[in-house]
Amino acid sequence: SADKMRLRFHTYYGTEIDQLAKDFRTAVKDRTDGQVRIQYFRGGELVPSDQFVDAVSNGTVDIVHGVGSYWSGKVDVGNIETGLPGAWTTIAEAKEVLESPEVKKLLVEAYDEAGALFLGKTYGSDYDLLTKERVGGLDDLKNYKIRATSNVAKVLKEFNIPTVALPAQELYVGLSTGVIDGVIYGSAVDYQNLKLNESAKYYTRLNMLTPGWTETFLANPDTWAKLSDEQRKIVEEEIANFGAKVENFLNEGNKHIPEGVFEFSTLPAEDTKALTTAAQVVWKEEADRSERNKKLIDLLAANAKAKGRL
Amino acid sequence: MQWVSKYLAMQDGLSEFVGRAISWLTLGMIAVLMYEIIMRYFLNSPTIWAHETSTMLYGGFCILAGTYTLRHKGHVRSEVIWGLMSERMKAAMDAITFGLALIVLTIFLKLAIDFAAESWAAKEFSNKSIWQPALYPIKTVIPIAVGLLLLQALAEFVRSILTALGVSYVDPRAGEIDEDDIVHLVEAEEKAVQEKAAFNKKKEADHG
Amino acid sequence: MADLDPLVITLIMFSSMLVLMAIGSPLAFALVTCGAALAFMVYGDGGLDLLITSTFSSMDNFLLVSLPMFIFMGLVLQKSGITDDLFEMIHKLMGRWPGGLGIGTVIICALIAAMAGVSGAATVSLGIIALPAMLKRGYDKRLVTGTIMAGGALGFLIPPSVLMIIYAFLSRDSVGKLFAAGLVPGLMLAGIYIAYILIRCRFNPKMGPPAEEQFTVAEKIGSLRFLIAPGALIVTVLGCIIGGVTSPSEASAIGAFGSLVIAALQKRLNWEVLRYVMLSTTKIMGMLMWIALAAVFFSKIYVGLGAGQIVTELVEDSNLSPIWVIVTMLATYFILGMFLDDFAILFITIPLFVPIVKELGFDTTWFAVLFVLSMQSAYLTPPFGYNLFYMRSVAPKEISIIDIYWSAIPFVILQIIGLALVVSFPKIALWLPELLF
Ligand code: NA
Ligand code: NA
Repeated sequence: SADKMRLRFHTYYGTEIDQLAKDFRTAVKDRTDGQVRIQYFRGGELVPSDQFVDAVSNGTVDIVHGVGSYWSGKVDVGNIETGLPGAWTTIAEAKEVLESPEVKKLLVEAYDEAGALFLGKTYGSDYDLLTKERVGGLDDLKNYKIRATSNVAKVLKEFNIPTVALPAQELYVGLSTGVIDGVIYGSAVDYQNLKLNESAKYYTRLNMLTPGWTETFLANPDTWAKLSDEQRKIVEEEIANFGAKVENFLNEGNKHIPEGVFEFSTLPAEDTKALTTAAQVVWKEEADRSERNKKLIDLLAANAKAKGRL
Repeated sequence: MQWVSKYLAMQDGLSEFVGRAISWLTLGMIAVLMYEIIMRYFLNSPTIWAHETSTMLYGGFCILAGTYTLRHKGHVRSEVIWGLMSERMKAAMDAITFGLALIVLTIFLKLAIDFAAESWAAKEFSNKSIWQPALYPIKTVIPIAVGLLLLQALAEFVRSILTALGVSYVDPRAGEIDEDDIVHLVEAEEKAVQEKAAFNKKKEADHG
Repeated sequence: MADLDPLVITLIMFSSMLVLMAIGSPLAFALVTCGAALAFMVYGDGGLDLLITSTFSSMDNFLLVSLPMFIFMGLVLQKSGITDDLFEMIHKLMGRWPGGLGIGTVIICALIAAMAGVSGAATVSLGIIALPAMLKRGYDKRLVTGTIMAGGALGFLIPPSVLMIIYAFLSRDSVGKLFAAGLVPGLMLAGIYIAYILIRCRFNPKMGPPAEEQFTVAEKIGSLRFLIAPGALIVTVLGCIIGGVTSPSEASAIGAFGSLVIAALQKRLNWEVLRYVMLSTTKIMGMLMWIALAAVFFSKIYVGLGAGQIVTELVEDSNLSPIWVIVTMLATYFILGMFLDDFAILFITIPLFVPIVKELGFDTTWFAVLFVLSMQSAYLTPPFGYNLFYMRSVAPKEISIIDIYWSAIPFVILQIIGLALVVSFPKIALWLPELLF
């Protein structure tokens, strides 16, 4: 159609990727001769991130960029596609699993049922433990209060490690006042952005799940249908381009953490193995939620076995 | 116009009942959080449900409270211009306000019913903590609260339109002083009496 | 969807809301009606759905559980006679000084502010207790009326603060950090009020004549016992939040529970009081929640129509130096404060202003304090000012509405001075949070 289209694009990121977003908007505008414009909204600006699927299926926004576990209470595959402890250990492996035709078919089907069009995925970064004291192994954590979200919290519970749910903006005060002793939230860059290194500088690589999360792009089917084939192709390419840049931004940052900001160490291999074994409880729980989830978990388990982790 | 008075009394009674019933949830929130604090600090075994339970109590309590607030004219309004108008003019303005509100609340009710129905259909649960409670009960509270507010707004609309048209009817709410006002009045009066007595005693002492 | 210029949208949204408010529409209904009309006509598919999203996100936040708790606590304290006791104490300790009762009133306001999260508690109870007592002793009526209204407004600046909790909810700041940042500016403002009363009474002793009653040293020291209960409560609640012992919501529950204990110890806890507190909390929260969801909805529609982005771009293109952008925002707050409720201002402006403040490289905690300081004035500026209404509802007959308006003016000027100090010296706000965390 000849009409100018304005697409409301809602990410879950705050201001940290603003420059990448600007490039993305410009690219879409230029390549479509100004016929498609991206209106960009940061996390929380229009819709809370856990209501992205509703928002995109109702047409409140046209495209969302979020994380499946936020809406996993509503879409069965949410937790699995985000990443279960033990599911993958490198970005390449995560891509190999999630981009396979069998998995992709299941994801498309799940989001279609929820009224959204699955556009594709992008991959996160490290997902490790930051503590106020040095950690030698899982045993050291028994007397710590660790901030962790549901799936990781369930795995830690298997080791009798107490967990606390705390919103991201309370992590700084929580750590500095001792409400919590450690967090599992993201990568070194994330911790540095939140200035958590001021009160907790011991960074322990868990090797439990890398990347620790994956991101999903969804579109409103009606809006998508209104775009011409050419426009759809451009928007799709630029989203992929944007996603790749976000991924690069996350992982490059982690390679260039200045000396002395954190003290890095790695969890003993047998502890990592124990975490992966304990995670099977969570895998099973997710598999029991639906037929589709069972198929997905079977695919994950086959991959883990092939890699020798299970 | 007796039936109008009857209807208004019934509607006010419904909102009053809802308000009084849910006001107990304030104590419920205190109890849940105190329980969590005691379990965590004194018995070293935090609950997994206290935070989300208190949040749901909060959300349900506040949204349902709207109808009680309206019944007691507690929704803030600016009286800068409205306050200068005659009683009938005020009522005419209220008729516009509540007329529009009825339309918007009806749309809201429809959206809220869909929202709750979708949650039931997906058997939606929360993924914030390992407790993972069902979300459809709290989402069902929204259409109930909107429906109750809609009913009270209808009563306000009927009141204002009758007053604006100059139809005489007995308003069961007329002459009603809100409890917090009564308490202030009583306090002020008590204070005045005490001060007066103290003042007189002092005067006597000075002259004696 | 119709493509309207964002400035036209801004004009339509705000003027239609002002018209509805002028004809006496409750704020919540005005916001929701205007928002829905624009969502239906301009936004396109899914615009109205933002109403339900906004509602659920306003309900589903653990941080906000502290709102009813702090309101509950303030109401119990108001009923438990703490204000009477404190006023008796300052009467004994400071009654003989020129302007002493006025100074003491400011101190009581600061103490109540440190216990209650809302501003009505101090204004109403001191309006009932302290105002007639000071008038009887020949204090200048405009000086004391202004003191009580300005002191009452401290409730939002000195932690705990309901306004800061909602600010944190919108800006993603930490509540503990905001609380710590409000404390010093709050005490500073109280100090400015005290200095003002001292100076006025120094030059014109008739404004605050010393009391005739004399008290023995033993009586004076004995009166200090009235500080024990409120002191314990303040230390517990603020200690729990700022010291990080519990989350703010849990601390608020401790405060609410503690206030019940204090009332019981004072033998002032009975069914009447409890029912009053429960029902008043219900009434206030019903109002706050419906304003909150309506204002969140209204501002989302505004932002979703692209108007928010345009505001940001306007600021970026205006070539104003960063500090003048802040001053412009504060001037906007002052003007909005004359007509709108503080929560409405918060919900409409914070999602627009905070990203700009971040962009310009300012500390958002500092900006939060500037915002709350601006809202202090909003409580006192006519025509729409809560403390003006509270005062009118409790003041004795000899205080006319004109007196109330005039009495506010010098204190608004003092508040602006305080605001200017925090703008010039951000450390006033940031020193304590930097020290603690
Ligand atoms: Na306060
Ligand atoms: Na004002």
